[in-house]
Amino acid sequence: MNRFLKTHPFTMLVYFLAVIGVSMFCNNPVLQLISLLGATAYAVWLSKGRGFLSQLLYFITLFALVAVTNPLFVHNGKTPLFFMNGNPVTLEAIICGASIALMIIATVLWFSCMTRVMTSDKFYFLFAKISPKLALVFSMALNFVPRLKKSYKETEKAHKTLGIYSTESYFERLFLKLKTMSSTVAQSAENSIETSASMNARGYGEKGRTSFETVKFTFYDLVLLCFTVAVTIMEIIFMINGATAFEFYPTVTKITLEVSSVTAYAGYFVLCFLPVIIEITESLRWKYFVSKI
Amino acid sequence: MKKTVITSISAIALLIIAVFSVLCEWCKGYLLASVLGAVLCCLPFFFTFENKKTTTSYVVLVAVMTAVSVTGRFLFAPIPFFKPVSAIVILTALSLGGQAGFVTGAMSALVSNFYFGQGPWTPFQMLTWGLIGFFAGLLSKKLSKNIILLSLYGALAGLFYSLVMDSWTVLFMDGSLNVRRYFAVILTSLPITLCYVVSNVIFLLVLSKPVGNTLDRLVKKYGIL
Amino acid sequence: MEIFRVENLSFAYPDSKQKVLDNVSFCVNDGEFVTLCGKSGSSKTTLLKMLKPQLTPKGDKTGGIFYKGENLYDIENAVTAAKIGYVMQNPETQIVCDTVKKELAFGLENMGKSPFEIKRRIAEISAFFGIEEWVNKNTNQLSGGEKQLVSLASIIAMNPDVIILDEPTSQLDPVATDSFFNLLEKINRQLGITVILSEHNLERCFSMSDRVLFLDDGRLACDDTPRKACVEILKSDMKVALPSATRIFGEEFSAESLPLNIREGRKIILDGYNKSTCEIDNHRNDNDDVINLEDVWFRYEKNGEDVLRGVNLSVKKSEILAIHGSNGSGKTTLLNVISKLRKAYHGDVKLYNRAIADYKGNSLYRGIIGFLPQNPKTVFSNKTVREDFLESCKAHSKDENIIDEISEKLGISHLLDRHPFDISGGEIQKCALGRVLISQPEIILLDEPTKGLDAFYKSELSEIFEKLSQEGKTLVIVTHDVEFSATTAHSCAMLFDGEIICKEPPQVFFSENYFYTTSSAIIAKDVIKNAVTVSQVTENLKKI
Repeated sequence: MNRFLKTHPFTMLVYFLAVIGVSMFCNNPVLQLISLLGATAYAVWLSKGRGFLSQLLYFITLFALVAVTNPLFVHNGKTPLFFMNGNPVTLEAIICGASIALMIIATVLWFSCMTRVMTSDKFYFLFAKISPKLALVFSMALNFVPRLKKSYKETEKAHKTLGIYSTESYFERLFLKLKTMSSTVAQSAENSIETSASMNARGYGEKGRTSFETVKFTFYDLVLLCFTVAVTIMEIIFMINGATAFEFYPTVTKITLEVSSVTAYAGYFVLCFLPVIIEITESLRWKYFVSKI
Repeated sequence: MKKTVITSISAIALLIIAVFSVLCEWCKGYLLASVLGAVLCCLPFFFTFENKKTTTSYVVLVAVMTAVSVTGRFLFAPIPFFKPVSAIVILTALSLGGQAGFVTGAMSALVSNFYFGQGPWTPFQMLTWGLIGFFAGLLSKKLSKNIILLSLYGALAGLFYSLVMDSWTVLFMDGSLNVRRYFAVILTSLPITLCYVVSNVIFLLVLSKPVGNTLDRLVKKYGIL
Repeated sequence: MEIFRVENLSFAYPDSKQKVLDNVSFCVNDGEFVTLCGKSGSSKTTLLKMLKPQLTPKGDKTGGIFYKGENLYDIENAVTAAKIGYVMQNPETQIVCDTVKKELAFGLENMGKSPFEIKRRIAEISAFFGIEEWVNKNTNQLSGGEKQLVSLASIIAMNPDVIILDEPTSQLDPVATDSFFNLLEKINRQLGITVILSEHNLERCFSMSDRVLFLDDGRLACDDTPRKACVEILKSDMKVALPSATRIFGEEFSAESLPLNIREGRKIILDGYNKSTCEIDNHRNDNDDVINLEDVWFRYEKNGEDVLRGVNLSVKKSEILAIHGSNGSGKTTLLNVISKLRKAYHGDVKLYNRAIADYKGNSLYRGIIGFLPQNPKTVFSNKTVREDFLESCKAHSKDENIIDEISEKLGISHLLDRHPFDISGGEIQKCALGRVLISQPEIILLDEPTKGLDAFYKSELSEIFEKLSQEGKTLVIVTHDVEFSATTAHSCAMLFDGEIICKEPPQVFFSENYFYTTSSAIIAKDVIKNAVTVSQVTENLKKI
């Protein structure tokens, strides 16, 4: 079951841009943490937990790297912990580094979710309407990649057995690769002429080209879209009026729990966890339906 | 005709950059602003490509060259940072023009990241590879005649790519363009930069003749431009 | 009603005085099945492309082409794009989209049809073609034959009045060819769509055709019913391409009773001839073994299935061995294992009694093994054929004279300064072979060398192979082409389920086979023993 996967591509794109945008735009550690948790939850859901552990190690290293190196370059802040080469290493800088690290990891995770859900054909669907020619380049290029790989393998075989390059030495192997590559380029470019002839033969270039793939923009999509936009606007307003504003230097702003800031956190929390919430309710509903069979 | 296109493109790009630098100053959202800025800078190029009257073969050939540079990223995966993308983009631009160069570069980034992982860096890669192609197209008359100039351009392109991606790294890690960190990053990524430069020069030296010949032949034989 | 009327059409390519089409006139009527035949290079493709405005080449054209009475080039692009379908030779290059569904929709989208209508057409067409199961498949996963079917379907989806097919099966194996022709016949018979087909293998399509156009050197030499056209074609050197039955009885029968297919030929031979036996040429060969395979097992992936399961094979010096087998039986894999491109995980592969693992680096490819891949274009990487040849010469430190020597032997001297991709199918095959021969290999492995070639080039290739064998070279050919191996090979082997089932001289091989055999062998079955080629049958008939 993957309900969120069936969301209209436009809604989906807006959703991801909003979530990532808010997380990149604001520097409030609470929002960063919410974003990271939401992203993690969805990433785990999508991968069904597989492969997540190996990623975890990478993220911890990344976190340490950014959090630790930040104070080496930034010496602002009022609470020096110790001095290094005559420069103060401040608590504020470390906290700021940690907050940025959270943001980076959250962003990377959100993007990995997005690549999984916003597949290339959805991307194509969206952009075919705005920019048909570019969308065509995009989808054809994606389609050519496996073809090129295959043709490369065949060509490599042919060139290997011509006996011009030895397969033992490193440089000869590199040259074989380059030679094969240029031969593959020549063949594929030549073939592209036939492909375009086949397109012309079927009337490509006529005005008023349509796209047969239609995705219904459902009520669910509308609600999701409106909610996303509303929360995003709300976050921006709260940020500008200072409810979620945050400064690291000279001293770290205290996180206060006022009505406005709590609303902002809660709103963003729901937004970030939306995919997981949708998936879970949907799978529960599914289980209920199945139980009735 | 060509001149007006170029001036209008650069005017739009400058305008966008100006607007965004103001936005950056105003609310400190450097990171988001820079990503959006990169996206917006690509738009005028895309717009002109979209509205240019072209033959079908031109469009398909751009797609093929995009696929070639993406496949190149796979083929040379065993050797880190030694990638033919910039070289292929430059060679495409020399034969098919700057616009094709830009689109090939930008699309190479977009398409290959469907395999290698999308991220906020995608727009930056799109813009840098795109610009590498675009300027190669502008200079095509000089570059295609002189292999030394071409290698020089390749080396500069490697440097340019590395510097832009470094500045992106700093923006991402710092939230603003911290000059000290920028220099530190440039310093630590020096070997990588060198690798880009060397690989661009090698690929251009080896591929410029066969790939250039291939494309020029097709352009001439089938009247693609 | 007439669909096409071509009047006094002449055509010359730019910068060339030679007329590739010379005063061609003919007419195609609604619902007809017309076959266009002619040697490679007889401008069949040019003529067909003239009938499709979107593909018409630039050049000097005189005369007129009328589509339903209107001048073809005055008709709107949208109309001719949809109503005149065009299927090209190469299944790999004419597919545009990533999924079958999108490919089927491509033309309709260009026509600006509504999503509702397009979906309906896709549903209809995939039911008619029986390809519902593939609709969501990626086009890269399809085989060549399947791709060609999808291309045909995507054109039929646009509801054309006429479809033009330019050697659509030349790149397909016999099984796929058959199913393609079956569908084509169905389209013509059941949908009433006019078919104009150019083809060099006439065995299959003559019995479907209403009319045959025979193009000879740019002139229309004949425009008649298949039987009458055969009489005309028998007089030219195109006759090698005719159905076997026609070739066997061509000299004795008049146009009315000329057999066009196996059934008709067999009837004649059963009714009128006494039993006889053809002498078996054993191709006696007392040379030493050159290739030895003992219990060879191979699989591509660790946990994959075995492709070769205990292959045993020995090939003698100067033998021409043809290996047959269906798609996916491991024929190409076997060549890869022999040529050290792949390594068997069990068993011995020996060349000249030495394990191939002992041939280090590329020493195997320097004078011992030459490999002609299925796609001859993969062999080239330079601007002209000569440059490629010179590159090989330098790498193998051979004298440059060898280029002239080889090109004379193969008859490609006039092609040396051309760009490899400007050369036609049959000729590029010879050029590729030429490049392989420069290292003067003792063993030559060939993967489907006759793919896409017409009968004329096949017989040329056959002669070249015989010459090479006489020079002491050993040839191992992997092929689907039974007619070719019956005339060319010294021995034939059958690869099935990863094993070599049998290895016999071609006459024994094909007369022992009931189904997987040559047309001549089927025609002569039970009457002339051991006759498997056209010449063997005719010679025996003369004797009687």
